[in-house]
Amino acid sequence: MSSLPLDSLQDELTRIVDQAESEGILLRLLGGLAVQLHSPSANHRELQRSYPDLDFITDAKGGQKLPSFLTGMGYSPDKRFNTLNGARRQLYFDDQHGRQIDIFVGAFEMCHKLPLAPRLPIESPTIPLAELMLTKAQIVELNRKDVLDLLALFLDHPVGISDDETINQEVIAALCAKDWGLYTTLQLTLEKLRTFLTKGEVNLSDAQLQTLTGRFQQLETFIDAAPKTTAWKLRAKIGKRKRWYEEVEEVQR
Amino acid sequence: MASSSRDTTGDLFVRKATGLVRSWSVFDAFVYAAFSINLVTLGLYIFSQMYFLEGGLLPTLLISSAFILFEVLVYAALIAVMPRSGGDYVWQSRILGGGIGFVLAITGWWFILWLWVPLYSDMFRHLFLTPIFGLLGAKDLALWFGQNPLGLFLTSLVVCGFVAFYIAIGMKWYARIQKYCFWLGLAGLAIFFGLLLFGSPEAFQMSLNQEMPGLFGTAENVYTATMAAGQEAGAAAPMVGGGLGAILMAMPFMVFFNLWPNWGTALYGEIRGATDFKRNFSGMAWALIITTALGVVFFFLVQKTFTWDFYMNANAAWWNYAWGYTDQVPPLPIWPNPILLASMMLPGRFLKILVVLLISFWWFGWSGTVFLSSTRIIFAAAFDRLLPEKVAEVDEKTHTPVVALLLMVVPSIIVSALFAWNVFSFQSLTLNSTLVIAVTYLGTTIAAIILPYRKPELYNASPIAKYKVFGIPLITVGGVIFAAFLIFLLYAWLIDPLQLYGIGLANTSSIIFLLVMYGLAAAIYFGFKFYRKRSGINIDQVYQEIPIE
Repeated sequence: MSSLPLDSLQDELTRIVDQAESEGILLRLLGGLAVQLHSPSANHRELQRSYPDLDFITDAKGGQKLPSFLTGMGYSPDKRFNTLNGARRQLYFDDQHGRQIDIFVGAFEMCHKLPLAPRLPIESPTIPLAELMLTKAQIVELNRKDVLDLLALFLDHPVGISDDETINQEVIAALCAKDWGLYTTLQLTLEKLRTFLTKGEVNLSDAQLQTLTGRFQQLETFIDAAPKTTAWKLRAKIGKRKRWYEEVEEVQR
Repeated sequence: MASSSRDTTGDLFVRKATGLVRSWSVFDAFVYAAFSINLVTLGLYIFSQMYFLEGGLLPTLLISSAFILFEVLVYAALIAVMPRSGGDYVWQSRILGGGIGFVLAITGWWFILWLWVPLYSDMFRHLFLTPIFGLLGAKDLALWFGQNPLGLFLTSLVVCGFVAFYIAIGMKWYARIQKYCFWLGLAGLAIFFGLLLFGSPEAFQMSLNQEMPGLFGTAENVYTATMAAGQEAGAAAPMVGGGLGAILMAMPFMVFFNLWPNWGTALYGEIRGATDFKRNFSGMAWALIITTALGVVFFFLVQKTFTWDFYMNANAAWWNYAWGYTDQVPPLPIWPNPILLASMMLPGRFLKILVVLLISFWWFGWSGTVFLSSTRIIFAAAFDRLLPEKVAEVDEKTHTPVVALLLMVVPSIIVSALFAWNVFSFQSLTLNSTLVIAVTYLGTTIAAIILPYRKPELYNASPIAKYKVFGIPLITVGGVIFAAFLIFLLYAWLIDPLQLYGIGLANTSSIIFLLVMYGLAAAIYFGFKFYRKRSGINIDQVYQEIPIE
């Protein structure tokens, strides 16, 4: 196994995940490149985007092994950032290719916290589709790339009750039933996706549009029908008067 | 995630949705600030030591808090310009220059914290250990912890253990624990205030005389005996009045308690929304205002139920003995802990223990402050290569900065021993703990005053550039007022014309202690600068850049 990062991002991804596996580190891809691996539609000319960096998640045990593992793989750590945040987030640089690896440890924390670690073993090299979709859908202030990723995911995968190339609605509904904030943001995101399509921001066929709106609807109906926790109901009474998501800040790197 | 370009499509996308959720919320920062100017620990401790002053404690508290609001303004503004972990060190080194920044920040945020450990420990034993052991029936153990140097030293070891734990668990868990401590401590404070509000001087006097002999082996009628001992010890401090001069001279004591609403500023690289000046200001200012208000309420309630005379006499009797002016153990042989005293009015031991336990969360929630902010200063200096890189490394398993922690804990244990056994008169150096940090704050305040002129591009691009007073930048105006306050404090401490504070030029131990600290910091700075230069690294160039996070 080479100790220097490879030119091709996809080859590099495979190299890292395979080597991590052999060293007992559970490392899974998320972000745009994970969407591309799952979704042929991500290569549709209307949904294409660039993938500058690699985003991973690992469990707490893996987080402890990352510094020596990634240094051995030819990456240099962002010492300042990792010192202050390394227990939950770590950054590494591939100086040769000008790329960056961003790794969440234990849980995915952005606008909402997603406990991804328990289901990491389900799939490789990415996190399961339901969680992958949620990592995008939980963003309150979506950007174009996030929307394109979400559309690609929904276009290529049915919403159903398994993890096998399917967006597992039960997993999503279970998380939303416990967390009113996540539920609310997901509703808003689906609404934004519909608006995006209505505005004609991407040129998709009628059949594709129909598939997308049908899947949005199916997911919404299933989430709404799921029984909610008492905490969810209490938080729902307060509503949007109180901010329901965490603020995500730009970090100068 | 790791995307980096900003893109918009109509009004659908407002910003790129990538980045970092910082560990602490503004509320966490408020709680940290509220703990840092802790009425129950710092407040009660220093009020009790002010027994011999002639300035009214209430006006001293109010006037000093008014000046400290300008400190909050200065620091909130600097955070908004440069929200970086390392606070004072980063601002001073980037605005005033590396040498000044390093020496002032390292002494004020690292070395002097060694002296704070025995002070935190002294408060812990008086607030918690002695009362709890006494209430549990272990009278001898209670008195041993309260009076014996070894008791203080052992307490210091416990405190170092606590602090190491706090730093090891990381910011997120620290925030959770301090939040629980805050609410539990508030509940304790509410009960304490309730006891004073609904109690009466007669009920207090009777319950004190009734309970103390059983708990701490005092003689009969401890109330009257304490009043007499306090008079003999020179109790003088009034609650109000005393004249402006006397009030001003009491302020160098009072700031031991309330100079610290900015204590969390070294952590602002890890607090959400730190570029928002108003948010930064309100978090720290509310902590100061609420704590000041609680202090005022405390004074009135003490006067109502203990009577001010008894409170000050009890304090005088204790400190006269603790500071070695007399060998005669006071009639009340423990620090006159107001919470314990008030709890005497409660029936049974269980309720008394509950109140002492609840109020002790003010100490437990606060104890981490002794080193948490310091770690960030040490990291920042290490990232600038002015300390070995090893200092900023964290253990891969526990994510604990082991070396940085050792550099704080080991010297603290040594200083705690010196303090406990009063070697080189270390117990007379209490106010040095405040003086050295005030010098650091003065450096930062001067940096704030000149920021708009020294770094105009940085200042003009910041959110505070719009705040002006008669055309002069608000940060400069606020800085000048706070700098004047600090210079007055430093004059009082160092020149000490009335010989009130005991750390001035007349105290050789104090001056040697200060010289050793500043000398050590300067030696590290010049040593590392020389060493790095030989390795081809120009430290001066490092200071031209603002650290990225």
